[in-house]
Amino acid sequence: MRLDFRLLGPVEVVGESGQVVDLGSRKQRAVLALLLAHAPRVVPLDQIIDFLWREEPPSSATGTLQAYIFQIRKALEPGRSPRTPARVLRTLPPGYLLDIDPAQIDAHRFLTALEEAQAALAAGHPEEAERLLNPALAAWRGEPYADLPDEEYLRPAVAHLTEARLAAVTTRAEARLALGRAGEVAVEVERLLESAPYREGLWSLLIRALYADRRQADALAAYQRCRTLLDEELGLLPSPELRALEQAVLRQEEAPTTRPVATLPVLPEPGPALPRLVGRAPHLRRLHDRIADAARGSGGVLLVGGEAGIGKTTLAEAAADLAAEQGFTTVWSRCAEDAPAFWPWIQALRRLDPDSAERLAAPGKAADPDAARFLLHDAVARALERKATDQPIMIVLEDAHWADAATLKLLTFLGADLHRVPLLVLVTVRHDPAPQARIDAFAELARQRGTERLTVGPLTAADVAAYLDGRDERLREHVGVLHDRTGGNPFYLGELLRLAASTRSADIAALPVPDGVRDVIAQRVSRLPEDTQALLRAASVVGREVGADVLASAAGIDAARLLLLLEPAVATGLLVEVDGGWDHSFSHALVQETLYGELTRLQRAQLHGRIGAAIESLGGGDPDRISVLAHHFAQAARVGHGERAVSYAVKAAEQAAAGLAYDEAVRYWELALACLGPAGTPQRCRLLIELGRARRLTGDVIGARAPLDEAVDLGTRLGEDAAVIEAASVFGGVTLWNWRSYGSTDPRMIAVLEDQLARLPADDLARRAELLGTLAVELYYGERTDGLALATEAVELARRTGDPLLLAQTLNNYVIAAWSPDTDAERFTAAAEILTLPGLPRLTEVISRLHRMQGLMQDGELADYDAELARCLRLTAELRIPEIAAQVNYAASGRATLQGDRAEARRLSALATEWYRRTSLWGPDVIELISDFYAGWTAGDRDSGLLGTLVSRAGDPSDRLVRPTAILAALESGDPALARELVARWGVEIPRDWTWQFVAWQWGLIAARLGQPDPEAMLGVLLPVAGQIATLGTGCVSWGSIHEAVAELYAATGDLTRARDHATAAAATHRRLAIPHLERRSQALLDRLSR
Amino acid sequence: MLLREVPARAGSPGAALLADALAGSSARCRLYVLSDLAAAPDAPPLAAALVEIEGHGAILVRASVGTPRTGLRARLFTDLRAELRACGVRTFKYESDAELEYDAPDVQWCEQEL
Repeated sequence: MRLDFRLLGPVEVVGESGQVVDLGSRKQRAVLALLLAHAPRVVPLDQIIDFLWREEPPSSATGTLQAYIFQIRKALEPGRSPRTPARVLRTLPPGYLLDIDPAQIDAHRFLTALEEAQAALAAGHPEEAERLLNPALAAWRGEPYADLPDEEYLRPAVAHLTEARLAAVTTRAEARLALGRAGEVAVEVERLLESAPYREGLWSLLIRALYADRRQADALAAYQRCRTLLDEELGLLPSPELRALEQAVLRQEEAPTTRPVATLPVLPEPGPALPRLVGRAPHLRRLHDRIADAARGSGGVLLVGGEAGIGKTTLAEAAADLAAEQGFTTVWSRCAEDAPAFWPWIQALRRLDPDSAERLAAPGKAADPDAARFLLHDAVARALERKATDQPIMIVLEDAHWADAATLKLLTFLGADLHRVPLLVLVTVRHDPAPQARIDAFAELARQRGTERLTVGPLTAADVAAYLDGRDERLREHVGVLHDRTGGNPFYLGELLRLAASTRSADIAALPVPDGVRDVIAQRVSRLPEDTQALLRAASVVGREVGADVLASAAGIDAARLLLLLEPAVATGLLVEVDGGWDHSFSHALVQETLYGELTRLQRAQLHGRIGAAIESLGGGDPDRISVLAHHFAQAARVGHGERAVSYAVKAAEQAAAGLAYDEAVRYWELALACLGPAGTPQRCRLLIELGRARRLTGDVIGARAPLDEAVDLGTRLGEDAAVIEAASVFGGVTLWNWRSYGSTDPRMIAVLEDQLARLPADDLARRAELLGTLAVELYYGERTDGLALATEAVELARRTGDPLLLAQTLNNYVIAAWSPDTDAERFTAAAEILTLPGLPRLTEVISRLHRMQGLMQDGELADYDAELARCLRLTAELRIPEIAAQVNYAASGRATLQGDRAEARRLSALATEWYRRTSLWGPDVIELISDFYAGWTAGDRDSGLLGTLVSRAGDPSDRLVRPTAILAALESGDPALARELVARWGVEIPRDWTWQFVAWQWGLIAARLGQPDPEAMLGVLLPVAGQIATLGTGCVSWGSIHEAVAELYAATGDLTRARDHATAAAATHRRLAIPHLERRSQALLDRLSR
Repeated sequence: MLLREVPARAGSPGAALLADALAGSSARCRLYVLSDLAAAPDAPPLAAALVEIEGHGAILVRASVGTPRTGLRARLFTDLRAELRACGVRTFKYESDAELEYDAPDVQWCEQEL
């Protein structure tokens, strides 16, 4: 049995059990009556308050109303748990509605019966009309809303129903007259006329009834009574129809005309017009097209960007509707500042492929983290592809400006292939200032095929006018003011209109000028009951999504009270109820941000502490909650929650690292350190080491050094030798290049390493090997010459341990520490040996191959070089580690330069530099500069336009690598005087490090053309390596056979015979290497030398 | 600030504000405290009220504020009335603004329909 609502008499509700429900106090019943009068439409909260308190509501009106709503709900659904949403009296912004079938209201049933009866009578079925109206009229228990006579807002409804009753009685009388019961009708109509004497319809009915009852004299007398009454009381004559009826009686017509039964006027429908998506037609068209493309198998990523409140989510919702029409499955997810790594993907995948979601949430430990991350990303991509094959999918990923690095990396990985999958990822992102890492991630994403940016801009004044269509007409004259005030921001516009509505002001211009949308929101919040405001502020600390359990626990109140207090916020649209549960979320991020912004720092800290404690008590062991707990306790660290903050930050960092989300791990290690404070403790030492290691993994070399240096210092002071060794050994980890800036050493670190070595037990081979290898690398740019011996010893010790990973590390240390022209063969062998070791991480493999590639290029083994390069490019796509991606692309650029493809060389050089700039390693600009110069020189540019930049950079001692290139550029641009000046300024320096061969070759060219340095001396330097290809580092730049430079030097010294020999050798080398443009160049040199 | 109900016994938050009234209170009494959510969790409540409820009626036994602050008493009463309304209470008796004892013979009682 359903609830039965009765208002044909005192307001009454009969419950599902058949009992009359206690509806409480008079005002409470008035609220119900108001909702009944409008059911099933929404009645705005402000309107309810206006009606109840007639323009003079007390300050507690909203809170009072909430209490009434609460009680009515309890009365209507007594068995409902506070955790389940109300089904009958529902909250729907901007107010409330009774979500009932109109047939549950007696008045509605009555009106329906009347309508049907009138139709039956008109169709000639008077018995049917009477059958319908008898029970309908019997349902009346008195005046409508009889117990609420003073409620003015009910008067229209009361008048309407009263009129309907009269119509029903009249219709029934007509039906009875038609059935031949004239006498009965006459008696009834006489009675009706007592209360409605001026109704000419009743007089007509009476006259006809009397006439039909063969009482024509009484009929005429009735007419006279009516006439007298109208004349004496109102000064009116009877209507023409009544006069015609009198004449019909006088003429004794067979059946005087029965007047058609008047239909009731329809009450106007109240309620506001629904909002429309204005000003977004082009966006909707584009969305439609992209969705159609995706349905055909051509998906991608749509980056919907704009300022806060501009309507990105509204557009996403419209896209979801469009997608649904085309048979898509749409899943929603949202990024949050304090969520675990991959959180939005986990949310989405839990609906699409729970197994993949669980795998993302807990990927497990991995020996080779980089390979594991690639496989994880690949598994997710394949799972989504499989799902999309069954049915096209749209994933909405909201608020990507708060996305963690792991989420963005996965998005970038997926985005690469979506152009051939029926899967569309719609990403909303705020156009706010963002960290460089995030900007870089979006830039990379935007370059992918299938990715498109869709910017949502402000509404125009015409759009605002269209937005107001169907609303209060008085607002339309304020279109200009509204547009100016809000800047065309839809959210701001909506909030301003709501504020105007709640203050019952249509004069927008008269509203106090808010500073911005936050001020508007603050004003709206201030109109709520104060305890609701207090709870909302606490909720803002929880976050955008407000778990009711957490909030109730933090506030120390029960579920029922929580919902009661949050009701006004829901009714006014500041909070929305989350489907399926009793949780809430802020209707917009700006609402949450405004409330949070109103708190002082101390208040925030205290609330974060309460929220953290509440979450902890509700299940802090849940892995999904660890990052959230870290966030809250970190914010509350200074009010006594420091210890818990550190503990959870550490757990979150470990969780992130285990999940291969290294950037997130860095963030949490930093958080743990910040919460721990500056005091020098073993715990701080440990955290510093972890931070350094994590930053190293992300390629932030400079950033890694600072905490590791501090850990070394602190460990030394505390006597924590193990910690010192561990921190120092991170510097000795597998790497491509020396960490240090070109030419720099750290005497302090060298002293620490030597001190640790001196105190290390002799039988601790593993640590000794690590320390020796690290020390050897640290000594590279210094004056000491024992680095090579130390590196050799480290390798031998590592062999004795039998640990392949340690051996790989020390061999790598050797490759770096021994990098000079004297050890090319040994280094090549060491790099080759690394590649034979079992269980090699992918990162180590790439680095070792790059080291091998240097040797292959120098020796002109281009086929092998190209094979290694191809392998490295594939691995780079999997690893996506910035420093590796940079160097591999530099190697590819150098190869393109060698081949004479200038455009390709420049493209790859720019790509490499972009990757390089994401690290903090020394040298991205320098390498790019040198690479660009030689790419231009390859194409025959004598004036590359880079001379000024080269000279400027070369002035910095840490960039002295550029000096010979700058001098060559001066020569090529036809300015030998400048070249001489630069030689005099900088001197000639050819350090025997990793740059030796390339620098020496350049000085050889300079000497041949300028006569400085001494060409004979340069011949002595270059002859031993004449058979090599000029190469910088691991292949950033490659130029061709050094025989050419030697030929030019011999020519400069006058020995043309030897010069021609070497030019011939150069040409032969280039021919063998199948590099035609270099062969032509060598041949041209030979021809010149032969003249 | 937020009003919440706490156990009506000695040792509860706010009990110190109403100690003697709590001692003689009946089982039908409820203790409400007004606390600052943004203060430390162990901070004492700002105000407290002891209310006796029978059927649809409620009587204020005692109300007290910790540290005098403008508007605090009014806030206590506003929130208390809202809370009682939500519990189905229809009439609320409380002493007038004059500071008189609960059981004084000439106490000025106000009765409000909620």
